Amino acid sequence: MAFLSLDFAILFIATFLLYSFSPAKARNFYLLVASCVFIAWNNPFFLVMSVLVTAFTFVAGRVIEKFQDKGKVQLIHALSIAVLVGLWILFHNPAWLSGILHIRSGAAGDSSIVSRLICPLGMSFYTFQAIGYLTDVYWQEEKAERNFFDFSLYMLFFLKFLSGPIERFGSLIEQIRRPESFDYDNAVYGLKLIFLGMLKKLLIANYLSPYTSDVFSNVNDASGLQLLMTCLLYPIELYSDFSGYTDMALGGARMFGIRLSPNFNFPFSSKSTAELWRRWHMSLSFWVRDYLFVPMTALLRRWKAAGIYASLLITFSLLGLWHGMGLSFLVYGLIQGIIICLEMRFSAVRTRFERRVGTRIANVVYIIRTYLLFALSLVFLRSESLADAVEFITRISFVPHHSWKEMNIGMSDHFCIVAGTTLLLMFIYEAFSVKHDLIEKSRELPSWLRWTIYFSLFFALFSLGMFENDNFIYLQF
Amino acid sequence: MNNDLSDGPKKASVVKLYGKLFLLALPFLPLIAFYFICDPDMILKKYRRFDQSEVYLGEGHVGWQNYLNNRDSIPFNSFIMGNSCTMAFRTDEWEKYLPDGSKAVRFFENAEGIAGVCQKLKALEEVDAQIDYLLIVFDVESLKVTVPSHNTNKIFSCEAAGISQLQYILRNLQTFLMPDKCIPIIEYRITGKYSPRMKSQIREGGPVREPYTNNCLNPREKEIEMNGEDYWISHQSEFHRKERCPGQIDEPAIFKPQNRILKEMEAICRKHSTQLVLVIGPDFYQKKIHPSDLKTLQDIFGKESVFDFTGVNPYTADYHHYYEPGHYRPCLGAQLLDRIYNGEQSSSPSVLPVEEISGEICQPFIK
Amino acid sequence: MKMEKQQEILMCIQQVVREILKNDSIVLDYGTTSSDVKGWDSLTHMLIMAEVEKRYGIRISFRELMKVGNVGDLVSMVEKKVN
Repeated sequence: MAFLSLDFAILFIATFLLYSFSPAKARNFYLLVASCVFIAWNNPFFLVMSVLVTAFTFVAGRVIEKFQDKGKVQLIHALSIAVLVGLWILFHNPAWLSGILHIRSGAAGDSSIVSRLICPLGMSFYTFQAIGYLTDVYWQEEKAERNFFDFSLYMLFFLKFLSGPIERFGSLIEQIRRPESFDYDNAVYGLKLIFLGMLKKLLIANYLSPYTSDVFSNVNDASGLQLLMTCLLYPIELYSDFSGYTDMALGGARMFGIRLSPNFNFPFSSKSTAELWRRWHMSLSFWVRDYLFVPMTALLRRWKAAGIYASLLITFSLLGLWHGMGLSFLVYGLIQGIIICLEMRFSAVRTRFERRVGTRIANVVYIIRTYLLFALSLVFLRSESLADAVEFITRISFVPHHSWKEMNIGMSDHFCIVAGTTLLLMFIYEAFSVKHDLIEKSRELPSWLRWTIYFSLFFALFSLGMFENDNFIYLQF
Repeated sequence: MNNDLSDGPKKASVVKLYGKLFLLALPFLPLIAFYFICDPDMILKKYRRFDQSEVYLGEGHVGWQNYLNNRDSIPFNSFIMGNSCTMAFRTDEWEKYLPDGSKAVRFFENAEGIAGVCQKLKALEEVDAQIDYLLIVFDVESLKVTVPSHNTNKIFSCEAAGISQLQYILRNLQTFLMPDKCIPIIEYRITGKYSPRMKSQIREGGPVREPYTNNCLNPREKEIEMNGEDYWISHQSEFHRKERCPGQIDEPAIFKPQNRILKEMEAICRKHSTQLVLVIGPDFYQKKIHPSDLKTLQDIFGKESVFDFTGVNPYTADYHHYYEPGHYRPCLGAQLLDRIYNGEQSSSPSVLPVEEISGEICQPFIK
Repeated sequence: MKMEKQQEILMCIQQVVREILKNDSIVLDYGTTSSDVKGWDSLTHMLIMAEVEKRYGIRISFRELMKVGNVGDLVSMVEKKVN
């Protein structure tokens, strides 16, 4: 089920209706049922898979805790992680899967079991949650959960199931254990957040996506200028898409009194790639930092700086591979790692530069440079193959086929105006959000102004919003 | 604080929320109701005639529905496709050159490109259409377009666009909700009176198309009938917006993606043994199509199928052939058809060297 | 005695941090956490820890490292290990 579909809207509304008229105790039950419906909707196999992983993790957690003071605990922890990772790798590699099951894997139109056993929805996300949970129990940061239903909701909660945020056990389980009944302020806040997410998705991301997709699928045909524009616009499209989804997820959860973790913190204000990864897809990067990077740097600390570099390269390579088991994903991750290593190594150069041109100018240069490097690396994430990505990047230029009008990569003026205006408004809103929670502050506005804004935005959304593209980019991971 | 719903105030706040949401949706409900009841875009039901609507309809949609819903009673086998310049080519005029019993229909889209025509041809194939004769009308701009338009009003069929029927309706509903669209339409329906500010959505003055053939009934033709030369005097500002460029060659339009699409079109024509006539229309500004483009078209479709009327020639020389620089009249279309079917074998009309017809590069336009 | 010892350890740690972060103006206190110090993040944290271990010839396990909340915790841990 996609977030922006009629099916989902009905499911959400029904669940919320039930919840709003019920006592607090009933909340988790409704959410769990809704989650099962949500996951099973397109393919019951997805539900089977996620429940299996949930059950496995639940048991493994209890076992780890039980054996905590005995020698074997490290082995148990390592084994259970290996099982989870192994499953993940298996399902991301249909060729291996069919090999193991002795089934010929799909040619087009093949209706064999394999083609139906495609990568289960949300697997990358809940696998990471599971690994995080088991590690927290192993490190004795958290106590193993004893209530299977609460734990299931932690793993399967439908609002974060599709594309995150990746929730830490501690923060989410607390909220699950203390269900709140309907709260007007939470509901309104949540609705506003959902709405903002929809604006980003429908007025920016979906406007850009058909055009950037055309270019990415036909790299050979595009002119150098079109490639350049697409490369520059793609980070914006990705950001609007993913942060829009995240806003909708957080808003939806908020309506049920659950606060999920944010994923973005004004990432394009980053002055270095290291900073970017503290502001971009935060639930993933912080997870990777805490469960991969920090342990690895601890392990390799005798190597000093070299240890940090090695950890960075390995961690980011794995982060890249998490997106998909392909060479171009690996390269995407590796690029981030390499850039951060270089930033660390040459930090003195940065300081000298800043002293020479002044902080203001230096900051502008850094922000632009960070954005450009990120845009280039994203070509590897988005392209259909490594060869395509390399072709894309090598052919970027200012040269069009026909005319400079190609800069709009096929978007009409009307499109450019709508998407551009919304983008500008989004940036302004987010710049202000750094200091204040604008949604909270909106309650202080006079009624007539608030309602005027609601109606105009509502109107803009429904008459201009590009609803055609239901799927979010991060759905595939 | 987390009190349960046994509280009165809690229940009240629930009701308050739903009340406010209803209030938010309120202005939209009558608009949505109007849309489903009155169907201004003519997409909710099957219609056989599209000439009686006062609302500007999607041309591709009209052409497609017109064909689908009438083909059981009219054996359409000939199609006039391309951009809005197809208005110059009437089905009855074309049928004069086709075997007896041939039935032509106009199935076009405004600002159509080769990608759109290719998509329509594939759609026709899907429904087992009989495509015996094909007249495609383009100008150089059309050759550049490599992707069918994503605009809602240019979607002619859900299947071709890859969306569901519901999505199609919702997208059209969405376009309708824009105030500059819904207000004129609703106002006209209620009052029945036309006013100039409605002109972007409502046309006045009778049908703009003939039923079943989808030929264009351009109100400007009537204007010319009534006013004669005065028509061009009163519309002269439209003609003077840009300078004509006799002797200039347009930039090349056809690259790899265009090549691919043209070959797909040719394959469809070959499969159906279609007799194709591809017209590159007489551009008012007299820019000539790039020779490499012309050669590519001839290579793909065959010299005998491609007819280039661009550049300096008697057709582009006479401004009386045009309503305005973007569109030419059926009288010119008839001349072109005559040239195509009865004229010389070469695909370009003799291009008179610029110096020899210096007086006729363009007829001196009244200022 | 204990106070002096702790103060000495604090100064040593402060010196390490200054060297690694290349910033001589950094001043640490028992309550300082990494988020209070510019440049002390996940990228430099282990460098600092490794250097502290080296200076005192001790080894801090990963679990213990994780339990360090602020500089004061680190000082106590170092003190415990040295004795």
